[in-house]
Amino acid sequence: MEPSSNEVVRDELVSGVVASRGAGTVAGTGTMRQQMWRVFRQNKLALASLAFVVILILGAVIYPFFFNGLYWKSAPIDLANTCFNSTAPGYTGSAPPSAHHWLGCIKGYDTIGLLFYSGRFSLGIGFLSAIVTMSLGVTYGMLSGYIGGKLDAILMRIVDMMLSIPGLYLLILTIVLFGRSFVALTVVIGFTGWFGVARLMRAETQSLRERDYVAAAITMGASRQRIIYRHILPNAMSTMVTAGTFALGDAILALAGIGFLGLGLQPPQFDWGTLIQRGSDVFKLGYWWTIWPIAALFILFVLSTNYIGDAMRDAFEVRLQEQ
Amino acid sequence: MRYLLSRLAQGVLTLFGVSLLTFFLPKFFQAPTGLAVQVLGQRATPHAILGFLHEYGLDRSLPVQYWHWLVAALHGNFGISYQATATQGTPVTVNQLIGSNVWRSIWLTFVPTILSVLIAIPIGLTQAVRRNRPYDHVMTTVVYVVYSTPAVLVCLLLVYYFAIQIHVGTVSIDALAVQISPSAFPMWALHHLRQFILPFVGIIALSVGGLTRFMRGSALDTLVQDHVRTARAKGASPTRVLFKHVLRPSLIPMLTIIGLSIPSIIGGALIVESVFNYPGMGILAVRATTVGDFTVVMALTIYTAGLTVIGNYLADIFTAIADPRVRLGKGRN
Repeated sequence: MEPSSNEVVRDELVSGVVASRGAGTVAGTGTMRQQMWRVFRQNKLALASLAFVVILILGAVIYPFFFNGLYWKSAPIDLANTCFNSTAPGYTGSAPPSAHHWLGCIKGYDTIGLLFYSGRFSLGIGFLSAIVTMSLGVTYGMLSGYIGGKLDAILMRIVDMMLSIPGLYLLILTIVLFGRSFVALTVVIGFTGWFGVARLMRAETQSLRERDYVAAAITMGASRQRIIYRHILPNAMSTMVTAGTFALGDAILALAGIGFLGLGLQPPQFDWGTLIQRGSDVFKLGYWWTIWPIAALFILFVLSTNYIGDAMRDAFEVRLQEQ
Repeated sequence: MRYLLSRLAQGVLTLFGVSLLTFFLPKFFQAPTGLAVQVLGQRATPHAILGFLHEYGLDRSLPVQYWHWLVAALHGNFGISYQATATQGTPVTVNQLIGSNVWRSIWLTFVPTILSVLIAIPIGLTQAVRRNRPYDHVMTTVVYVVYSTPAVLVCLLLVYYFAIQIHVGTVSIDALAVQISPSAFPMWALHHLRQFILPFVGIIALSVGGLTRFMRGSALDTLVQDHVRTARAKGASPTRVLFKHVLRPSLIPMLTIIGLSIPSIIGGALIVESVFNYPGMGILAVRATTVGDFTVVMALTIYTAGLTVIGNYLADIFTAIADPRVRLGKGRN
């Protein structure tokens, strides 16, 4: 059984980034949580990433309230904060950055406001569907890897099957069938993204099952549940964390793809993908400020989730050493 | 041999599963009468609707419909496209519809995939040789950034900085592309190569990152193996060691990864197509899906999955030829 291409790529990417930074982690003393935090803190890149993500989440929650409430209700127009008050000929409402609108405007709306407002939906769908993806993938993969035999063969054929359909096609098909609401998108992205995670967890479970301590636990008469919960799940934690951060990044990228194709959330709800779609036609006219803020946001966000994932993985590994 | 046969059986099973999924999933959501109205128009008489349902076997039970569809599909016949039939008035088969689009897609995906393999191999190899030096770190970061940027943004930024700012390539592909017949298409595409520069770069950017990382890992695995050390000890020149003893064994796993990345390349091509207004399979799939033309969707899914299965199978065969351990069923689980 070969791993899926994405998985291999991810594994390579993660190990490359970790290796390039070097792993000089000293645990020291203190409670488990303190030690984990100390290890996490040593990774400055991850700290910066964490700060960025926290600011983004706080901004998404708080910032839209400053639009007098009008912004995120049915008529998202607030004259004080938008670029509508221009009378210049040929005006498209996409003004360049200025003192009043720091990142410019996209079709009449302040870009910062739009980014944070649509961040509510993008981040919300991203986090929730990553949770769906992880719970499905981990359960499925562990079941398949631990029980093995015929069940494993059947379960893995199903995963093979799903992975042979391009993810975006599957996503579009299910969105057309299930609708484009917040809940539907979350469920659909979560349910179409877990196949890779299942494969990864299956491989992890298979390798953990062969360890001496699991054999010892079996010899001592531990039940299957106990072995899974006490011995396999905690040891698979670092893999799960890495897979989870990738699931989050993937969910947000998938949402961007379908949003650009016009299948994302419908106004007055926005996600970053629909934002890209709205900005793209004027961007082609030469308005760089309609896409660059979103592009930077995307790259920074996906990179930071991965850096945070790396640091969390290191932290969890320290915890395991201590046990 | 037994290994290859069992892989073949797995591939066939996979395709069967995909066909079940794509057949039954839409059927749960789409009433056959809705289809009839879509094709015949809002004012169709109940009699005409019944006639339509009977003509296309839509009045039978689902398992029977599936059986008929499967038998026809095995003969390469995927039925008619209801949407195209409705707009053109005469029955248009799914195969006609796909056949008129497929060459454009093959051109768009095949060429850049080959190019990105050719780019990834030297980069990955040199990275592995200069492991943990500045060059390696820089390339790792570049690959990481490209990998985490959505395809849409890569394409849009390409359009802005190349097509608009310095006039390399074009903003979109000539709408005339639709009217070029399949036989004339290769010549047309070669003549209009300039329009394809940016779409190609877009697809290369999508796939090259993963391939490079994989090549690097594969070359790193090879570099520490005994035969490389032996070659060095025998006094072979570094170039000779690199090309003779490292390159070839590290290419074997690349075959597998190319086979496996077919679905993601096809999915990514969809985004590239829609940025550059290029009517290929991806746009066809999106349109067919959004208007509920599920016969086309089924055919496209089966073809794509089939391509993936064949790609993986070919990779298996090549790997088996190149690596005797696999042929004996050892070396992997």
